[in-house]
Amino acid sequence: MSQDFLIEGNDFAGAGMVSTSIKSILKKIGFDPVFIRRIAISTYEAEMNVVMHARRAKVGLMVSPTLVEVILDDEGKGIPDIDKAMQNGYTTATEEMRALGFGSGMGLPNIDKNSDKLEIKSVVGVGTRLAIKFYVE
Amino acid sequence: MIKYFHAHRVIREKCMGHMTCMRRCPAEAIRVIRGKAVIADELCVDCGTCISVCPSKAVVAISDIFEGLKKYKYKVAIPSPVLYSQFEPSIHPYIIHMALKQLGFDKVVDIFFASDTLSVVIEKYMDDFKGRLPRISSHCPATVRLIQVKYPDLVELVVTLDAPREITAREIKENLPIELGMDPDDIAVVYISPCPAKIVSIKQPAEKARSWFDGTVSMNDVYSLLFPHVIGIKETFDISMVPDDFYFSADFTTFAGKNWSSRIGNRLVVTGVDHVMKIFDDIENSRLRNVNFVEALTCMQGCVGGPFAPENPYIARSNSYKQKSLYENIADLDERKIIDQYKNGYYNLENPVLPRPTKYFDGDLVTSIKRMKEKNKVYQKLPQIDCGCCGAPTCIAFAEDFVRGETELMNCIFLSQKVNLNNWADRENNQ
Ligand code: SF4
Repeated sequence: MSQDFLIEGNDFAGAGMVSTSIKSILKKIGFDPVFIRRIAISTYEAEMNVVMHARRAKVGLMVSPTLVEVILDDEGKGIPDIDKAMQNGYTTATEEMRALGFGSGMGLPNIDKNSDKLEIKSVVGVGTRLAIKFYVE
Repeated sequence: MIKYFHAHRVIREKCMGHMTCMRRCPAEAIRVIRGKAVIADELCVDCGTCISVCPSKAVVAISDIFEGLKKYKYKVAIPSPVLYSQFEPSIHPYIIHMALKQLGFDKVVDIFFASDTLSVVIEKYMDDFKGRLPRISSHCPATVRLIQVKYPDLVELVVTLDAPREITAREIKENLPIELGMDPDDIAVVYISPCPAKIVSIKQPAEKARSWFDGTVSMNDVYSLLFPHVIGIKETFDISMVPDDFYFSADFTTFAGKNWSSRIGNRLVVTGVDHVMKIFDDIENSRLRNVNFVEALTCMQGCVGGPFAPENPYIARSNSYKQKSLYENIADLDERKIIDQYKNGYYNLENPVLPRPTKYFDGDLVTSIKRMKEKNKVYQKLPQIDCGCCGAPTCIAFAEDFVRGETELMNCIFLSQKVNLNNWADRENNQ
């Protein structure tokens, strides 16, 4: 089963809607609540990254009995140094964003921590692709 | 399969098939089938929205009518604090006790003492607590059901302390038979409830085998009987009639249990089921990072907004503020003793709150995923305007009902119209 969603950059008001929709689909299918929580947290973090740093992103949710995968393809500035971005607390969010509690630099590390596999591909000036995998036990 | 008890039902003869309840039910538990509303037992969270919104007043309470209580020799009423706020502030709260006695109760006990006690307990609980945050208060049973049905991952956040009403009832059940030298089975402890959820929590508790109450009555039912007595007593009432130990604390109603946890930092109060669901979504996305304690009440404005409370909740709240300033009389609490009791587990819920598994697409993961896919396909064919004419609240819900085999595609008027038009076209072509 697969389903697509869209996230608009800078849409702070709407942030969280995609992760909430994904969560509700997974709940209806009947996955384990703890498993869903990992996916919800990861998707929410990824969604916030798009809102803060990109123009827009396409999100694809793929569900099979063994694997749930969320792929985010964004049009944005890209990540120049992925290793650095994966460090706790590293952020390129602006002061204003951080004052509002966003961009604490925990996004990618948090996704990494909550998922089973995280693949990042990024081209500076073009965009970033996150493929986040969760294996069903 | 467990059969779920609910404290409300649809009177078929009165139901005009308005669909208001179907659209507003936050659990999407209502369908309109052949012009009548039908509630799905396993999905209903007892929030009472359907009762409040039904234009024909076709959704009504099922509560123990006084008849059923006649067999008891001694009857104790425990009113929800909301009851006082239903009367204007010139009515002394003690008048309401007197009126309840005229209705046939032998004793009236408030839950104020237990709720003030629990506010001490909950502070201690939060001080000691080291696990996952935020904690969610457990005293709105509709909130607890909502979590069990729609937010299974959040059950572990529910505060494991019992509600003030249960603690009060338990103390009566334990002490009164000894005090009166009576058989406990001859004493009835009855709750006067502003909402169906509390009635259900007494008939079918989420976290224990049996409630300490013997019965419940809806506040609406009591109010109508009580009103003439209240007016009558007021005429001859004199303040000297109030006993010295009369205890009154309106905090519980003035704002959503303000005194609960007032010293707890970073708390959040949310009322109204839609708003509660938004907050729960935020918790699930781990977005609520700086809040330790969430008090979530599914009725707008909290318990004063209960569907069985006759007065407008805004007026009730305002009454409550005035009553607090006029009549408040709080005894000193023995905090040391309370904390000792707490440490001995006295205030704990008897059993943990567990998720209530509701299967949207019954079956295993494989079947379920297949049905989700099929649902998406069906949904694509629908007009996606949520008109409700099919009897389901949204096109998505209709598509889900269809893959579960509970409805036919032709119940969508748009699809059936298309088929009819095609049939017409075919006929014309064949002529
Ligand atoms: S009580 Fe609430 S959840 Fe139950 S059917 Fe009515 S509106 Fe729906």
